[in-house]
Amino acid sequence: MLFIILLVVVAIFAPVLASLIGHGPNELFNRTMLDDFGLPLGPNSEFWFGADASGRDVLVRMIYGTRVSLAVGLLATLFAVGLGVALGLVAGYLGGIVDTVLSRIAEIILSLPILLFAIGIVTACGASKEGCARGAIKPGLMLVVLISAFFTWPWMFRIVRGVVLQLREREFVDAARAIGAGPTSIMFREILPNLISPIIVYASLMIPQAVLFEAYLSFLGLGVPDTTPSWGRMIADGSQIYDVAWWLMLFPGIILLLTVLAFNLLGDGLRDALDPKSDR
Amino acid sequence: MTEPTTTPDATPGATVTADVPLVRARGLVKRFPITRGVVLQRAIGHVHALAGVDFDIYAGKTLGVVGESGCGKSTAARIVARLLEPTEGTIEFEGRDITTLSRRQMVPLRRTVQVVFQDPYASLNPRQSVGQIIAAPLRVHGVEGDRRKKVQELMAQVGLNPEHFNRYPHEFSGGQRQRIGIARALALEPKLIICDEPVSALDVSIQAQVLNLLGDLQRERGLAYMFISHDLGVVRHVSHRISVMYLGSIVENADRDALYDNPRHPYTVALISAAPTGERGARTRRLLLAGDVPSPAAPPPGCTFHPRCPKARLVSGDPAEVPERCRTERPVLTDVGEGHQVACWYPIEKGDAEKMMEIQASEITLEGDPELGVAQTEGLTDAQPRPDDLVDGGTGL
Ligand SMILES: Nc1ncnc2c1ncn2[C@@H]1O[C@H](COP(=O)(O)OP(=O)(O)OP(=O)(O)O)[C@@H](O)[C@H]1O
Ligand code: SF4
Ligand SMILES: [Mg+2]
Repeated sequence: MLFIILLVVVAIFAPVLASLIGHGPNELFNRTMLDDFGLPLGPNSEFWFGADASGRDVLVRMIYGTRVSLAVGLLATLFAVGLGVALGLVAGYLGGIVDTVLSRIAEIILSLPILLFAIGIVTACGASKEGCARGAIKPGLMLVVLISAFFTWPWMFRIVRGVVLQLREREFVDAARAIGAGPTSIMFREILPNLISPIIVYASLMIPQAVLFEAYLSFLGLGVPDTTPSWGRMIADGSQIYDVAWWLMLFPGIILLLTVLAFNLLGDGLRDALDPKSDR
Repeated sequence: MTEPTTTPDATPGATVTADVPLVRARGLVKRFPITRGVVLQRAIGHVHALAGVDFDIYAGKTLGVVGESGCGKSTAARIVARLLEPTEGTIEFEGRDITTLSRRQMVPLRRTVQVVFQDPYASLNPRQSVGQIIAAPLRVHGVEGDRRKKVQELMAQVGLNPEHFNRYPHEFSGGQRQRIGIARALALEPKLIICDEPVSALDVSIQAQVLNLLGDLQRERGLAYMFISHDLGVVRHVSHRISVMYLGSIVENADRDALYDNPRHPYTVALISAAPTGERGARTRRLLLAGDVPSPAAPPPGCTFHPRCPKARLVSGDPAEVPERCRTERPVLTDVGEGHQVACWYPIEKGDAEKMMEIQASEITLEGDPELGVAQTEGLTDAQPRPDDLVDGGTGL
């Protein structure tokens, strides 16, 4: 939890931290930080985490990378949760053909090989600056967010739908119908408040998925452009010269691992804290 | 149970008045499909929850509905509350057919018919405060004015502390929660409140308090109740008129005293004899029914009660025989005088009860079959057969 707060603070104050260190994220230090063969130098007192192949400060780039990772993680989860909750409520409460159609769609998306598809889309749309679909889809951060959200909303959908199926049999739903409340009012006023804990728990478990997803795509060179530092991108770049510059992969790798771990722990903790059995 | 202090005065003449009843239900049928298959759901049969039910509810009066678990009481209640569509039949409200009204058309009617549910835990949303719960009907119906004041008045009327409107349901006891449910039902000043087993989830001492509250509200506001219970003692206490249900049908309709003093359907007789009398020391001989209630998915032909009916065996004169008419023809509710209706080909006559007891006693002593004696009345564990109960003399019936 503390770690997550720290990440958020770092992300928000990235420029401040960078100016404290005195290096910009895309500033080239090829005089000082590249050796005679053009290979980067490792950690020293000025460049704590060393420099990358272009002579840029790894620490500063990682600090900026926090922004990208968190932004992608939070935005993608936000979209996925919004879509999943809304559709899950509708499918679970209305049932019938609406439910059947939505559930099938969710199943199909869940059964797709996500990475393969994502690579396909990003390659198709990321090949040129114009993007694809007549420029409607452009490469970049937003594309990563949307793809990630598109492939993860069925997760939330399934959980919400399942809980709603149970809740709608409860007598308080009949009670609401008996006073004349309509389906929208019942879904959002009666049922939604009872979904808060599962939504929070699963949302916190979806964030690390999105963070990882961004890292995968960036690793494959399909995510954000090179001038936007991202952990996945840095790991990818580092992997090409890992035998001479171990620090390029190690530090972003550790931070990625810690972040994913922290969010998973948060999710587990929230699940225990919000367990419906204990909040009765 | 503790005898509550208020007893609504029975008005035997109420049923023969010419005025239009508040609710008139005719020929209500409800079949639930039994489905098989996940993708393509096929109906492989039906549960006959209601098999043609008629009843009237009069303004300011209580219609009690009794019957064993699964006989369709809640289904009937939910249809009257328009929470469920009947498969067949009509519901008239103050003379107007409301069976086919859409949800929107129903909205004004919702103000006049409200429901109090059985489970005071499940019927209140755990995530809403008591104030929100009681104000919900006011909100839905766009009632103007100071809602908080109205909520607090309602809370006071049902005996809750008005200061507690910010609390959540789990902070209240079962009896208090049921009072919250009653306050919610009262908010729109309805004419009819449907009470589906409103006290069966409560402790006996609390039951009396809630029943008294309902009685007081009826007298103050001229409310009508459709009061559902499997507990004859409770129904007797609150009702003006009573419908006895068995396997989706009403088998007997009568004013309260007529039903208890002069039951005409064999099932009613068995129910009454199985209920504790409340009078201490009065040993009641119990007329016990053989076998289980048949599944409503496959109701017996003819009179649905015939596989268990003691009177049918009395008529045939052979404990193993049932008159052909009972096996083949379904009896319809027929007037037997003064608004007393019974669905039976051979209604109980004076002296039948004793004769049925004798047959039963001889069977039990002859065969010693304990199975035969299991009373199928839910919630009455003390109705287990004890041979001395059956053979001993008693004041019952
Ligand atoms: N939604 C439903 N789908 C299928 N069958 C149902 C449904 N609701 C009720 N039934 C069946 O209809 C029959 C009548 O049920 P109902 O709830 O009306 O009985 P009840 O008299 O209220 O019983 P209880 O005393 O247990 O509340 C039962 O056999 C029940 O299983
Ligand atoms: S019709 Fe026959 S089987 Fe049915 S209750 Fe009457 S006597 Fe019994
Ligand atoms: Mg019921």
